[in-house]
Amino acid sequence: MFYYILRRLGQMVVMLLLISATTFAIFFAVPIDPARYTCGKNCTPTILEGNRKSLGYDQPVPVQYAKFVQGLATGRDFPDNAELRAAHPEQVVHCPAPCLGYSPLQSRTINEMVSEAWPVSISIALGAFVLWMLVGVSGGIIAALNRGKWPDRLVVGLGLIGYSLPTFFIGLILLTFVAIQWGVVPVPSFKPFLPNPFDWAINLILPWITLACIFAASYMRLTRAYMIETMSEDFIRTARAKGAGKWRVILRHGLRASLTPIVTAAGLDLGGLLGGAIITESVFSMHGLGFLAVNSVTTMDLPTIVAMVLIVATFVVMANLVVDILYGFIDPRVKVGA
Amino acid sequence: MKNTKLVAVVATGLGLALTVSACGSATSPGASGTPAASSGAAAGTPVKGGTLRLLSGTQTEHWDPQRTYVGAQIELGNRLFARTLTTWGTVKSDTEQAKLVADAATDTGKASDGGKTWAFTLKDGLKWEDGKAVTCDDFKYGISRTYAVDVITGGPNYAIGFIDIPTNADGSSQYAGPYKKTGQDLYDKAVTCSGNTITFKLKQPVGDFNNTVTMTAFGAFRADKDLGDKSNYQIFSNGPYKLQGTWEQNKGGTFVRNDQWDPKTDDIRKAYPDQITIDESLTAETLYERLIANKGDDQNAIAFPDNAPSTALANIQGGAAGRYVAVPSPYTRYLVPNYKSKVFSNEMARKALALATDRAAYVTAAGGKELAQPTNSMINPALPAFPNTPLPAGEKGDPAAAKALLQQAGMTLPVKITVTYRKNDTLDKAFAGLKLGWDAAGFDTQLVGIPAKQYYGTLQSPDSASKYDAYWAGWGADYPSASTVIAPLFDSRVNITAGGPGQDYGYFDNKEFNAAIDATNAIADGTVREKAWGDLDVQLTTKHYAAIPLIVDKFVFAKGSNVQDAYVNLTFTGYYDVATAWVKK
Repeated sequence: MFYYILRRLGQMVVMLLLISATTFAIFFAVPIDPARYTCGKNCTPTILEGNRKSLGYDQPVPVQYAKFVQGLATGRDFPDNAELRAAHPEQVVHCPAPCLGYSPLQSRTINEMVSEAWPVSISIALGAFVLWMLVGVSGGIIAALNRGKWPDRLVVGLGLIGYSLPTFFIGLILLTFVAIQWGVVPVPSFKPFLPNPFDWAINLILPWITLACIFAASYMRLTRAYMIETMSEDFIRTARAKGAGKWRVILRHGLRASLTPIVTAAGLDLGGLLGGAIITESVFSMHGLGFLAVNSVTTMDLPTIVAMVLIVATFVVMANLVVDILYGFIDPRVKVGA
Repeated sequence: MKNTKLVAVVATGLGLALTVSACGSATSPGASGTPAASSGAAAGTPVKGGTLRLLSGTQTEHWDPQRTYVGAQIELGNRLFARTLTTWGTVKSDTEQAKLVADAATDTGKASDGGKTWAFTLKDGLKWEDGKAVTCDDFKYGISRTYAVDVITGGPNYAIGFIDIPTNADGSSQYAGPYKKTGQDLYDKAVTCSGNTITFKLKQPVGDFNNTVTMTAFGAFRADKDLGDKSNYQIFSNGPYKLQGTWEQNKGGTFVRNDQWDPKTDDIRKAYPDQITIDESLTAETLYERLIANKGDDQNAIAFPDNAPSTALANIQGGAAGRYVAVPSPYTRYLVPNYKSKVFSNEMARKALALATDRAAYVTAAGGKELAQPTNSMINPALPAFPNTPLPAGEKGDPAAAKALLQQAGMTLPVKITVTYRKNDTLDKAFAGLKLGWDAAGFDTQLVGIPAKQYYGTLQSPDSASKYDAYWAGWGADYPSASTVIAPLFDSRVNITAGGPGQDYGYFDNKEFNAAIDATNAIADGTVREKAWGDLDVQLTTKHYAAIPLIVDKFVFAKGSNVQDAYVNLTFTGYYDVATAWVKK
């Protein structure tokens, strides 16, 4: 198991390097000059050159990439202009390893930006995850156990509605009525978990509901389908015949056997969400990783783009790894090395 | 099965309802028909105190005065913490034109040597937030930072253009700014301090240099507070407010009173609120929802700088009656015929294009009369120089007259032309309408929509001259002198190089016109000078047909019910002027 994880982590590092190199290559292949963006309205060629230098895009692309990788390993000092760093040490910004870079458009290191944004994304993702797993899986079980009866139809119907309403619509409706018009909860703005967890939760409740709506709907359908299939298996009949209680049969035998595909989906969804829930973040003005990602693309901020791609990729790869490891515990048949 | 169907029907119904309401908002953006009609009238005597809240959906790129180039930040910088030598006065209504007034200087500047030398004397009693006096050297140092073009990026480069320092062969200034100090002696000769008087020696006469210095890029900066790029969001105030704590990008900050600011030195800033907060974490949609709802603290808020998005326009008239205003934006949208194209090198073809241009179609596409007005002037209506040139053939244009012109010019109809525009939904519709008018006049128009990010880059590329016949473009003045419209767009000497047309996208290159720009720049009397800019504008649009102005779009802004005396200062920047605003208790 240990070597398996080690090997997977090794593969991950190689993959992340490839991804970041590709991002660099694509960025410079696009026919848009990022220096033009910072150059102001009456830009002249020599001032454009100055801007390119301040952005660090004046060096050959491989050199820029090498410096980026080096920064990840050993940290870096900015501005990238050695002459200026020597003459004006007061202007130097140190970015410790693993340095993701410095965004000249935000005048700060990306590590700083990410450290501000990740609590927002994690809070939104985890809260929504708990909510949708609770509602989705229990709804699915209820539907499966009452197949064809009214609870089933109700759950399936609600699921369909939840699934067909777009996130921005649910988000805007909740924001406009629940927060702005009726004032049931404050207009959401991110508050840290400490010192006041209640404040944190009350500000996040609308984003959680918004995000959970669409996911709960699909997990209801998923759980229902797998539960129906599992509950008609022979081993369930055997368990019942042996006199196991109703809920023991449902939870120990039925649900556990249905869990494998649900865990797979949940792991990947959560991994993707940790990298930012773009629409939810934007509707509720919460500036998590998703907002950073969108903002970096619209402003052509290469260092942030590369960092965001790396972070999202890391979350997805990690989620995959966790799911693979969890399989071993849920389903003894796929235990690694067994 | 039956129930699932029912749900599907309900869902479809919801979808339909959504579509219908979306259409509703697109076709009836119920903004006020008369500009400025619905802005709140003053209610009583202003009182000090309270918190004025600025709700923003736009991230502040720079607070560093020398790197500030966006109207919203120029205004807030000037009104809150960075006093400039001169500035634009406050207004008592949304339609009033502001006047140039002295700010940190005792008057609006003294020109000599035919406008090549300008001197400003600082007022006594100006102080930084740490109590030290604001000196002439602080202004001199601040302005010098503009020359450090690889550190202090993003700001306007008028200093480099105007101040008499020689340039290198590649066009760069021989002065490299205060960090490298290369050419420091050249700067010290061109900008001098004598006691409290700062004197600028310029390369050429600039009659409106006292307008130029209203930009915060000509503001003071204390050398011992300069951390280069690290200073971008650090605010060191010499105005009525200072930043409490630090500025948080994408979130905002709180400005509190600067007790070192002496109101006796300041006729402009009333500084009524105790605090001014800026929340830039919002989106334009949500902030207008909040302003329309007008609940709690949002009653003390104004939209700044975002104008109402189309989604909010439908509700604003009913929901924010008396609390919103529709004003002309600072931007003029126009069409440039390409002088290097075979068709439009012919003056009659340019005139035909102008005559056949259907501005009414553009206005409709832009959301109707509430959101756009047709224009035939390059200079914006908010500027003193606005010549208000009549439309050549009414709002719809006159394709028949245009056709006659093309035939008179001996061209074989249909005349093939390729016209570019910045691709988005509004301009797709607008250009489909414009094409109908042009085609009716005998043109065969091919439209090319270019993505926004590549748009101006494409126009400025030297290859475009042989590919396209006319371009859509947009421009707003940097400061309310028409010198920042006519010269940067139509002076071929500063624009056209082997590398491309600069901002003279259509390669308009006319020696007499360039000479007239120089002559106008040198006029000392403001009224005479602005009139002369207006005349040049008329020449461009009715004699040379070097530009075909299309529309000025309108911006809608809203405020909370407690905010009083907040007027849109069109001349200064086109946003609510926070200098006079106060909060009713």
